[in-house]
This record gives sequence, C-alpha cells and structure tokens, in this order.
Amino acid sequence: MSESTTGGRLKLVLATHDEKVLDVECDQVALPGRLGELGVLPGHMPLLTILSVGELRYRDGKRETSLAISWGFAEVADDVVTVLAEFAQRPDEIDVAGAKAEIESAYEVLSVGGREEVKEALAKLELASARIQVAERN
Amino acid sequence: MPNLIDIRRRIRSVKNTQQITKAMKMVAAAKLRRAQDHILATRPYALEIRKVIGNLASRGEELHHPLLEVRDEGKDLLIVVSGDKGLAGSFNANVLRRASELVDKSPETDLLLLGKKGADFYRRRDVSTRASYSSLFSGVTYEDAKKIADDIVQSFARREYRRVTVVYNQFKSMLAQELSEEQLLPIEPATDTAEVSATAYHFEPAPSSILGDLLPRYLTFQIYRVLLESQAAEHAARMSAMDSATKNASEMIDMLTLQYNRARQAAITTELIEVVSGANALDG
Repeated sequence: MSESTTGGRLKLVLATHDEKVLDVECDQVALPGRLGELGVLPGHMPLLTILSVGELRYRDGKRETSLAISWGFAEVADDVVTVLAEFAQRPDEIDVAGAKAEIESAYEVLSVGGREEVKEALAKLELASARIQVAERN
Repeated sequence: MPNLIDIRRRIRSVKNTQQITKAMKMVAAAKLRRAQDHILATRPYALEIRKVIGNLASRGEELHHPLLEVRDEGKDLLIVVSGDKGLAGSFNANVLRRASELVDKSPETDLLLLGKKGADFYRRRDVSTRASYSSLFSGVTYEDAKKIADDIVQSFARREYRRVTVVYNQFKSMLAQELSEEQLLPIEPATDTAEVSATAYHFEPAPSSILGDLLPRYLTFQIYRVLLESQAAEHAARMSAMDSATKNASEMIDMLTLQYNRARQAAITTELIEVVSGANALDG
C-alpha cells in the first residue's frame, strides 16, 4: 500500500442488488477482507478482492462511519473503491434486539442441526454479530 | 324490438366491468412504477459485476470453472418466465408460444417454469419439467432468485445440462415488451466490451478462487434481474390491456345507450299513437 503524494481522496461506492447504498468521498476505507481487515488509502494499487461478513468503515476528515455488510466484492482502481455486497446496513437501520434474538436462535440450531443447517446458522451468527458490532460502535 | 329493462341491465353490467378494468389499470400502473424503480436500483450492481467478470476473463490465461464449461453432451434447460395472473394481454401467451417452439425444435429439453400461468399450461402437456415455482410475483425477492439459481448451479455442475437458457418478456417501455431469449449458462463473459479496462489488478485471493465465489452470485443476480424485468413487463402489459378494455367498455356503453334511447322513443311513439287513435275512435 502506498500513500499518494498528491493527497487525493477516495471515492467509495457501495451497491447491493437492491440499491446504491453509498456514493461518497472519503480519506480512508477499511474493508472486511477474507484474510483480515484491509485498509485502503488514496493511491492504492488496483485490487480485486472478496470480502467476508463484517464491518466496512470509512473515514471522512475526522468522521468515521461504519456499515455492516455480508459477502462483498471490492474493486480498487484509480482511487475509486467499488464494493458489491449481498447485504449492507447502516448503523441506524440495525435492530440490535433482533440481531441478538437471531444469535440466540442460531446457537440453538448449532447444537441440534444437521450439517447444512449448521452452516446456515453459522453464517447468520456471523452476520448478526457484525451488525451488533456496527450498531454499538456508533 | 329490444326490451328496455334488458338493455338497462346490460348497460349496468358493462359499467361494472368497466369499473373493474379501470381499477386494475390503476393498480397495474402503480405497481409498474415500483417495479421500474426496482429495476433501476439494480443497475449499478449489474454494471459492476459484469465489468469485474469481464476483467477476470480478459486476463488472457485460461480460467476454469464448472459454470464456464462449454460442452456438447447433456440436455438443455429452458427457464420459462410467465406471470402468476392472466388479464395481461398477450403477455403469457407470447412467452408460452415461444417456449413450445423451442421445445419442438430440440425435444431434449427440460423446463423450469417460473410463474403460475406457465405451470398451469404445461401441467397436462407431455414435457419434462424440472421444477415449477408459482407464486413468485407477488413480490420478487433475492432469496427466491437464490433458491432457483442454487438448484441450477448444482445441476449444471453435475453435468446434467449443457446449456441453460431463459425466455421471458423484457420490459422496454410502458407500451412495449419484448420477448427475449438469453443464455445463462455456460456464462459467456463480456470480454470485448468497452467496460473492460486494461488495468493490471492485484487479485486476492487468486483469480480462480474469486471466480468460484463470483459466478454463482452472478447467476443469482441474472435470475433476479430477469424476474424483475418480467414483473415490470407484466404490469405494463396488464396496464395497456386494461386500458383498451376500459375504452372498449366505454364504446359499448355509448352504443347501448343509443339503442336504449331509440327503444324508449319508439315505445313513447307507440303509446302516443295508441292514445291518439283511441281518442279519435271515441270522437268518431
């Protein structure tokens, strides 16, 4: 990762199949990569990567905003970060109680369910935890 | 000589029908708006995912993935997208006619029927149907598309099919739907379009692994898009069908009203003649 000397800014576009969630300018983006968090600054090399369930954060000046996303795909090119996600939620849209209830029910499935059910429950668990994390940060 | 009461009754019945068609037209127009917005909202995602797949494919090296595999043996799978409801002009008939033509051309075809009308149409016909889904269109969801796509991806990967095609009504404008046929599998990446940039990307993880993750989702999205298009086209078709039905009803009411007035006048004339000739008879 190399920081641009021109002090440029990033453009962040986040789209799900149902809406364009974000189209903003910012200074820094942190993506939930498969292999850990991935920081993007202006001047980043062109990159295509798969994202996992987690928290997407971006910083504009001193303001940091985060969103919960699940399965995403990110492209970085020419200081434009494009994120495609299957699910994206802003903190103020997150229903913490609902997410907690989902975690409860996922745990129940984990103890009794079959292989497919466990897989599904794990995915749900992951997403619900990410949503709670995002909601609590803000 | 038509009976006055009969004509009045007919006028009333046509008026009732007209009210229904008018209401249906209005409902379709409202739903069409929403469906249209829905389609527009998917555009950014569509553009980006196509660009990314094109980028991956245009890297020159051979990419291997079951969903890209072109093969000769195996059956065809035809996805037929009809509506759940009728009264939409030729919307359902068009798509079903084309589907039957395609099946006649290559009998080694399995059908996947989306929409109740298609399922009803093929229920008593001798074609092999893989599955049919019949209440998708009260509200198209991504989850529905995913369920359908998962099934297709698995069977294609098992080499049951060599090609998966979809036939559906594409939404062109408020007034026009176009019957459209698209190949879904094997996926043919758009390598020649201007959308593909020449940027040398760093991939993380490896391109083949990204592809494995991306392609099934691309198919899901394609099916989602087809469902939305068909839904919008159905509403548009219903809107114009109901619009002309309403107009026809107006014409019929005008005609019947004219007939009614003529009959009424004739009856009055007859009565007058009777009265006058009665009076004359008394005078004489």
